[in-house]
Amino acid sequence: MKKIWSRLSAVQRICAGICIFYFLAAAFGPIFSPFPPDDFSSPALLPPGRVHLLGTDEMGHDIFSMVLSGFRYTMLFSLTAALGSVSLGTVLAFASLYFPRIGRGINHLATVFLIIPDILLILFVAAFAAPTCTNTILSMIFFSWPRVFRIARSRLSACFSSNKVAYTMLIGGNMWDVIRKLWHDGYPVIGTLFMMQASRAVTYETTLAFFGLGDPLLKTWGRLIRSALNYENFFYDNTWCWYLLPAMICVVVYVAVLSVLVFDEGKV
Amino acid sequence: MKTKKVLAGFTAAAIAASMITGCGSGAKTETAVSTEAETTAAEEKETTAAETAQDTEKRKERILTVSGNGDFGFPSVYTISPKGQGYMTLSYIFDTLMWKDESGLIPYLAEDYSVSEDGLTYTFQLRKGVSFTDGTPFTAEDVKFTFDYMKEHPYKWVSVSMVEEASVVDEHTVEIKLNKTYNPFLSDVAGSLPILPKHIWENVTEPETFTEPEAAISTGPFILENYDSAAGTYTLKANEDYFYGDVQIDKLVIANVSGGDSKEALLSGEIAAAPNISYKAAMSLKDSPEYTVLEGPGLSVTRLYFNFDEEAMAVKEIRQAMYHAVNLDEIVEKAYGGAGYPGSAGHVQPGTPWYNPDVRQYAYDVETAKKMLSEAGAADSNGDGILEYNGEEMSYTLTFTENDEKLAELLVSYMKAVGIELVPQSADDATVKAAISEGNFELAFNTNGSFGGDPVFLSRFATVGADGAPSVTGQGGTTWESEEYNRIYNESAVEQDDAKRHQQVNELQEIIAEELPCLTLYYKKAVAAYNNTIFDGFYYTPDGISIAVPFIMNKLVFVSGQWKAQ
Repeated sequence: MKKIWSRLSAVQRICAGICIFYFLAAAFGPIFSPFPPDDFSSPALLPPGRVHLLGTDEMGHDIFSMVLSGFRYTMLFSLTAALGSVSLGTVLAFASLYFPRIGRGINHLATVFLIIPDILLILFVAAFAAPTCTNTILSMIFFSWPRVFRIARSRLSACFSSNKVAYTMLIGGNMWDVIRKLWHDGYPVIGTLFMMQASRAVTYETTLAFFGLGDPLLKTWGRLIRSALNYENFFYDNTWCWYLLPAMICVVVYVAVLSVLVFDEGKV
Repeated sequence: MKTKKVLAGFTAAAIAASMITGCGSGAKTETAVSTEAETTAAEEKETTAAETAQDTEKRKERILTVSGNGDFGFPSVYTISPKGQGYMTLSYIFDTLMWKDESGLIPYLAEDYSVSEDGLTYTFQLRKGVSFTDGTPFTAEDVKFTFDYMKEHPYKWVSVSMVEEASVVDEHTVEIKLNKTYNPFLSDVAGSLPILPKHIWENVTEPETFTEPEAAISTGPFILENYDSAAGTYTLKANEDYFYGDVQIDKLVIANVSGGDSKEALLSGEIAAAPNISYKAAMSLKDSPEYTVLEGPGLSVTRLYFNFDEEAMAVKEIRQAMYHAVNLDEIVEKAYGGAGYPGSAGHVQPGTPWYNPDVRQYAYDVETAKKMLSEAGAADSNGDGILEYNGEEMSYTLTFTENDEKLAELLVSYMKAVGIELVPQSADDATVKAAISEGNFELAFNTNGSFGGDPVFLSRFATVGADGAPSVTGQGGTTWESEEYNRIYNESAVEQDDAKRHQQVNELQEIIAEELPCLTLYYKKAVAAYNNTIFDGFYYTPDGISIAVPFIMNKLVFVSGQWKAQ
């Protein structure tokens, strides 16, 4: 752990710190939440104050509590979707190399999926499937694996032709032996892909919620942004400062931080 | 220098002259007037340019721009959308035998009318000297033709199924025979059916595709000048020969406001009236003296529908318990920001003429609701917090239109409090309407307009022999059914005696309140705002324009109102 930390650049350290903060907020946020996120008993449209740190929305939800609960949903979405699509993509990439016969088929399938922008497919499915959390995550996993597949495959295929893998296969090592050899070279790529997918998943979720798809009552950041933009007097008083901005900043920071972690080379 | 002045005066006078002809006496006299004006201008060489300019200013074209709601189709009878705003736009061009003004129903294209003793024959004396905007005179033939044509080509806004025959007595008298009495005939049929000019429509076989310019010719206060379907803009110019008075404006533009924010458009002067402004935006304009805010009647209703195939939903006591669990006042406040009135168990809105104040009401009371549910046999035997009825979990999907999340959230929490789980599922408006009319839902709510006026709208709960009533989005699948209700409804539909009919309608409401075929959640209040320094005199028509259209822009406003801008 210490070794990884020392390898990171200053920027990466900050970003990693923010990521850890997001995790902590997701794990322990609800303990500090002054109101349950679905409690609407407070007066509507209060400005920020001591009781309601970020005021209330038109129905009387405490906005601060909704932003806090957003951490949990967002983390849940982004981690499960990323885990799902990265596992699926990597497993398929490995399978396509290890079993060249089906490999070609999978490769073509991935090309087809890559041609169509995945957000369109996800929107399409979300519009017709029952709007539950699980369905949203499943559709994200199902339509975003090809990207992972492509990158993982090119990396793994380079490893496949390396001497140690070739040797393992030559001496009759089984699939697990090959995986063990590959893992050593593969995991940095997979880690990067995981972060990429995690940040994508948040963008997807926010987009879906913004279009009114997905579970209509789940208090995610996307929903919060949507309801803030639907509020009519948005531009007349300064409501947007505490209604729209916090959720917006949370999404933008999360996506930005993950992108920096993926693309910043660090000190090598 | 002097030549310049004269020239300026000359031009100004010419412009002024064209203005006069524009709003004055019609195209025929145009040449004469302008020649006269030129002569006058030449004579009065001394008139200063400034003075003439002022004259021109006074006669500036009066263009009134109001916000619309996008494209409703070509403004002819069969091509415009059969919804409230579509009908209102149509009414600027087409006229009816009767109409409603600020005080109520008035004879309009008809000068006078009489009803026979048995309520089956209506005789209308038509106004003389009325002509269509293409110059052809309007006669009884056109009225007869319209009824015949609409029998052949049904018109979605008004049903003429109760009309047996329309016959011409003389050039200005027409007699309508009904096959059975229909109480709201004067307001809902004679007051809503747009009269078609026979000479234009007699050869039209496919009215749904008839969008030639002459399809928009009739007797109304306005003439179609331009219709831009892409922009959703209707430009109408005043009919100078309008029979009901002088139209106070020259041009009416119904435009889609940029950005869809009618308050912003009103403040910036892009529009002079916002008939579809949101309640909150309207309330925020209330204190500025140059804006008038009108709060209208609640002519739309939001209902919660039950699927009667669900065993538990078919139990009256469970429906009653659910109504007890709903906080109707909170719905108005939290879900709609105060823009309405809480629902009433008898379905008819409190404060309206047909309301029965003695019907059973269901006060918000979670304990009573729980007690009623357990008495009805629902109990939580497996301890998961959700009740079971006859071994089935009381967990239902709640289908609703996507922008109604607030009400959905409230309902979910109300039902959770008594042990019923609702799984919210939102979709677009058309999908929800289709799901309800096909019975393809478990619980659903949506909002319907055109709710008010004559209580024929209670026909939605009658399952037998309720034809002739306007078709509202009905519920499909297995529905609630009551023989007693059907009997009373069908009696009330033909009852001539007002007191007796009131009695029957009261009984119907008692049955609804007791049985709760659906839960009446909320009546939406219409609200509008306009800039009174441009045009003043808008009003909400009692019971709405035609069949409960809740807009402030009754066409007669443009005759009775005042142009205020310079």
